[in-house]
Amino acid sequence: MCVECGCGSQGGEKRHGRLLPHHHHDEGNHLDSHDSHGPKEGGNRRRISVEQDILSKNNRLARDNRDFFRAHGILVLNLLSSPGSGKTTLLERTIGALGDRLPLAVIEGDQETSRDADRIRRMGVPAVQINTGAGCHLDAHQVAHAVGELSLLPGMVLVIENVGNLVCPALFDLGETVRVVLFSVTEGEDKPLKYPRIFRDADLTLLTKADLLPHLDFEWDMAINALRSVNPRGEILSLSSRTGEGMEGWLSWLSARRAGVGTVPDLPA
Amino acid sequence: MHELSLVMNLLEICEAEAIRRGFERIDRVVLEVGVLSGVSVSALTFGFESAVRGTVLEFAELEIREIPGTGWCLHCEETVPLVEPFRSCPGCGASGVLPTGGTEFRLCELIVSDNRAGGHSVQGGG
Repeated sequence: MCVECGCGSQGGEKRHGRLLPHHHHDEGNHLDSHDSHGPKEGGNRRRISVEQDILSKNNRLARDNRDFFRAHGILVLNLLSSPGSGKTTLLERTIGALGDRLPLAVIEGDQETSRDADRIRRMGVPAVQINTGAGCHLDAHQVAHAVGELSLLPGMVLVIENVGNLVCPALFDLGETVRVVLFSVTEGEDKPLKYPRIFRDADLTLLTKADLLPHLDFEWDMAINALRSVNPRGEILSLSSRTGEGMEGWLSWLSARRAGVGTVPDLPA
Repeated sequence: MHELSLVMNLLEICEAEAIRRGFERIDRVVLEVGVLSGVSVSALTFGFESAVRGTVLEFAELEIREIPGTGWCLHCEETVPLVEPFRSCPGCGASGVLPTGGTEFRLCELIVSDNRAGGHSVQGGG
């Protein structure tokens, strides 16, 4: 049962035949801030101690999402990169290569248009587009709602393609299982040094467009050293979505992570 | 410019507090921003000024307490000052210093006004 409102939720619910992460829209009534003990400052002015993490709401919703995904054995990737590093193309090639081996669903984040979700749906994979408008990143609340629109099944792999941006999405946990950052070889070897926060938290960095290496002055070792200096432990793979070179390594990684999510439980009644 | 959405998060907390504790106006909002938090103080201030019009924060003064960065150097095995995340240890020059302080981004306190405690309303104009 939900300890906040007693509504009977257990890390997720099934509504209208769809799996949904559970969260409340009346968050203001559940704020976990401290009560005020501060002195009144004379007249009708008073000091209130709040002591609350400003991202606490997003973090709490992300936790709910994560509990929900874990409870249903769903591997969730938060796919991050600059615009144009090849996230959607990688997804198309991945869907094509996987066939029926791994059931996928996709959430697409873009400022405007449903072009990316349309591309994924054309491949026969369920996809929901989130348009962030003025927003420069996805947040856990948007993801929870998008999940409600997808017909997720236990054991699926959900890929969340974040808004193309190397700065803002880094601060917003979505409840993902793993963060995958794309680093295309056309971008410059020092990208990880210039945008360290996003590369630091990557469980996997994928160097993409590797087929272009013979035509570029890209210094491979310099790029790997830059990456290692901000993220000593994360995994690194390279591939080309265009030629298919390196795709097997990426698919094996995906299968291994999928297996790591554990056994797939039954849907709650 | 995620600072704008951070301001919206702050505003949401403040509006919830206004309902919960029954005040009408915030005169001052006090934040702690760690230098390693990934939040730019200037962008935050700009976002704050742009986003609060017509809200409970409209007349609030923004006070930002910057928290210095510290990290644990795995090589020196001691806490060292860090001015930016991912910097090398200022002592030995080794990379891979783990940030331990200065990652905060918190709302600490609000100085608020309401019309109930004083027993009379403060009306605008004269």
